[in-house]
Amino acid sequence: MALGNVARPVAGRAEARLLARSGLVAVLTLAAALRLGAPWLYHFQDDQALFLTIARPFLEGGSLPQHSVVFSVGVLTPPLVEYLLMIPLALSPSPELATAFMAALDVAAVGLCYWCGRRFLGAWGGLSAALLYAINPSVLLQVRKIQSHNFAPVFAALTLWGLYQLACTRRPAYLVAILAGYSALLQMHLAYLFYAPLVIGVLAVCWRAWRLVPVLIGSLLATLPWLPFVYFEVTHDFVNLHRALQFSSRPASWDADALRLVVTLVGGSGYLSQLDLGTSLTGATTPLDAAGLLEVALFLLGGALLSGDLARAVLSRVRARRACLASVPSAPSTSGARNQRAADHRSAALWFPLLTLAWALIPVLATLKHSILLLSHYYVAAFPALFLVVGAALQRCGTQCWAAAGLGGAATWRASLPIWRMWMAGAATLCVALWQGVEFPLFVNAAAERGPWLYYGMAMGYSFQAAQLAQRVAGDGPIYLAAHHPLELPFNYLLWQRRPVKRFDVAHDLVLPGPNGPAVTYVVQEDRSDALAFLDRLLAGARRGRVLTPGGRPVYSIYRLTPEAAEEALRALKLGPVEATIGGVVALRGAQLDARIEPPGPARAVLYWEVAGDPARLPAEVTQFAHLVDNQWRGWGGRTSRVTRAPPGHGATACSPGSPRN
Amino acid sequence: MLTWFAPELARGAPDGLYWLATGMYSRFDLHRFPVADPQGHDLGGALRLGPLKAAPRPADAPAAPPLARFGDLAVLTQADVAPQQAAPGATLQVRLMWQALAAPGRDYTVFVHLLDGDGKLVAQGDGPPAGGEFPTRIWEAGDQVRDEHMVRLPADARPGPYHVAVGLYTVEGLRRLPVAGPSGAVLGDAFTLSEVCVGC
Repeated sequence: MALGNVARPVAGRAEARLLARSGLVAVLTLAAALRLGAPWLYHFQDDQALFLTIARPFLEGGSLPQHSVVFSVGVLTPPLVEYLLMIPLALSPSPELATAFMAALDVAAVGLCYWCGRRFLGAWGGLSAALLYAINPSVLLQVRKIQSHNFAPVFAALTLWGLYQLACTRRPAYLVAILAGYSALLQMHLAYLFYAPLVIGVLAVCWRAWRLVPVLIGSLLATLPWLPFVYFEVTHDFVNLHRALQFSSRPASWDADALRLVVTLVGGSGYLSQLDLGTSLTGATTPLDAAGLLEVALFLLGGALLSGDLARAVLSRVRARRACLASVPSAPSTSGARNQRAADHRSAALWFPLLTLAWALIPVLATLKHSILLLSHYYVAAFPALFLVVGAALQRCGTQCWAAAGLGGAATWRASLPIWRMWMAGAATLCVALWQGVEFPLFVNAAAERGPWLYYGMAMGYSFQAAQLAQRVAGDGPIYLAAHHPLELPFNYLLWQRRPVKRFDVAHDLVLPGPNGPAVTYVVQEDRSDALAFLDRLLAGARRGRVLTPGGRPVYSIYRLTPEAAEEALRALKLGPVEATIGGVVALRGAQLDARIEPPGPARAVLYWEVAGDPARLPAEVTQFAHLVDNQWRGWGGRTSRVTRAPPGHGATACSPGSPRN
Repeated sequence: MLTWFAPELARGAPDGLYWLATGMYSRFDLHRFPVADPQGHDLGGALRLGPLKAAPRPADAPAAPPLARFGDLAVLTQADVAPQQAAPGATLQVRLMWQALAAPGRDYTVFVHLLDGDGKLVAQGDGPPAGGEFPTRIWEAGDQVRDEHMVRLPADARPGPYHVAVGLYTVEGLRRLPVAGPSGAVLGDAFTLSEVCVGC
């Protein structure tokens, strides 16, 4: 029951209920359309391919995955996401279906967001929270990208809902939802450790509600998915535990950049920030521009108004409770109503600190951004509590709350507009590509002058569609892809389809370790001049089509590339033959090295690899290194490149003879 | 799959020979996968490609007036012996700067001899230039090679003046290169750097 509700006639209540339900249906429909519509628009890069690659073998008679991918701080994660992904993969190996499955879970999160907020916030508050979550642009981008944290919102909502219901009703059954939901969250992302005070606090306050059976069932559901990972740890000397304990973080700090992250989270501008910086918001302080400062100011002002209003609401509740207890006689006919009011008072008293704590966690997370390598979109950990907070503001009809909602909304949507632009650009690019009917083989060359805001839309929309198109036209023949970074999407998709793909990797963003040390220090940009020269040779004489934005801005150039041209370009590289096999799987067939380094200039090297054995013999996540060593094998520099497991036959082009350099 | 790499040497890396060591490792436990040759012989955890020579762009003209010329191979442009006064048992540090005149394509050894007043060899510190990091077989005309040798004085060295002489000889046959002064006058097969006083 909402705060401040007054007794209404039965007909009026029925009408309000009908309206609320209609609103819920509308919000869920909108959420589903935004998440499940245009199913070809989704992200499929290395990580997405990895998640599916780990999950898939079990369905083909392999062993149960014992771990998921490596978390950003260097530890393996439990494989709950893989287990969830097995559900769609059992029906089809299509990444589209797997992504849609994840998106469907997020639609459920929208529904839970409503149910979670309805009781205290009222139907309209709950609807507001659900609507805000349903249309948040950052969420919409995330749910088209298979990542562990993107499975989390439904479990976050389930946990919050369980906590709230337990606090209000003291019914032990909600312990099951809390234990299972929170366990799932911890398996999906370590950031949910920050909810531990919330969970422990509610469980402690409601200790009288603990019962053996629900605790046992909840514990069983919570621990079962952990068992394979625990087994992995036991059989691997607790390597992840040791690594997690040894992880040394930088000191957390609170500054304007952390503030901006708060806004990023609420406003859904995380991807924009990443695009602007090329990588992410981590590792460096982001300069705040005037618009960013305004966003921060709006957010803080909205938060202050909201907190004040919630406090006012609690005080009014307390006063109402006193009046209620004083006026209601203890007649049997009114005991139900009194118990209900008492429960509402209790819920108000509990929900306020819970929401305040959830609100307070956001800047804590933002602060910790400085201490460990956290990408801004990992703050999805705060969903959907954020939207419940904003929903509470919307539900309160006071001037303060509307002001807060307006300010928050302005901040959110100002940040969101460029994301919608990206989407529109992606859709437009896709239409142009389909209209042109570009044939295989193709090469996509991102125009140098393209703006960063275009990238994501194209990566999600066009490149993937290009891969499907290439696959359709190529039939059973080999597919040649010459890749700039965006083509990782079609490349991984084609690998996932187990198609023979010959890939010409043009550029990498590589990681430079320090001399004589394994520590990864920072990301550097590859010198691409020789790679681009290769591309020029590759494309000489190739038929070209261009994709332009409606404003005539070149986005992609699409080339019809023949296998002969690829062979010719490869020959022109003058790769010296090398014969060595790594791990019995990957063969190094050719290499081109500069004979001389003129410090501080780089040592340029081109390596030509083929998969010569069963890639399943290698782990899914492999790093290729190229270190400069002296005659005593001391390291003096180097770079690494991540290699996704490729199918046999990948890269079978012969290299030309030359002088061996081994 | 083609991969382009452009690793850079760390600051402070000495000039000389380097190799590109490549391979793969598990991202999880950093375990390197074994590398094997076509016959299946284990090559360890990395494959060395190269060598690559790291050196500044060759100079067109000598950086400093030459002190001496060693055959057609190189000129000595700088030489420094420290300390000038030493106790018996001490170690002398001899720093040389060579500038290559040609690419010999073979290995020479630098000798640094400590001679007493009678020209008798008392101590020596022979070795390839730059401790083998920059052997003469990779020299090209214009290359400047920083070279350092250590000569340990005998503990029973008699007090008095000694001379430090340097030169180059072939590894095969131990033939010394002729040495000429700046004017072109032949000085023999060694160049005397300076006098060191032991026990002074």
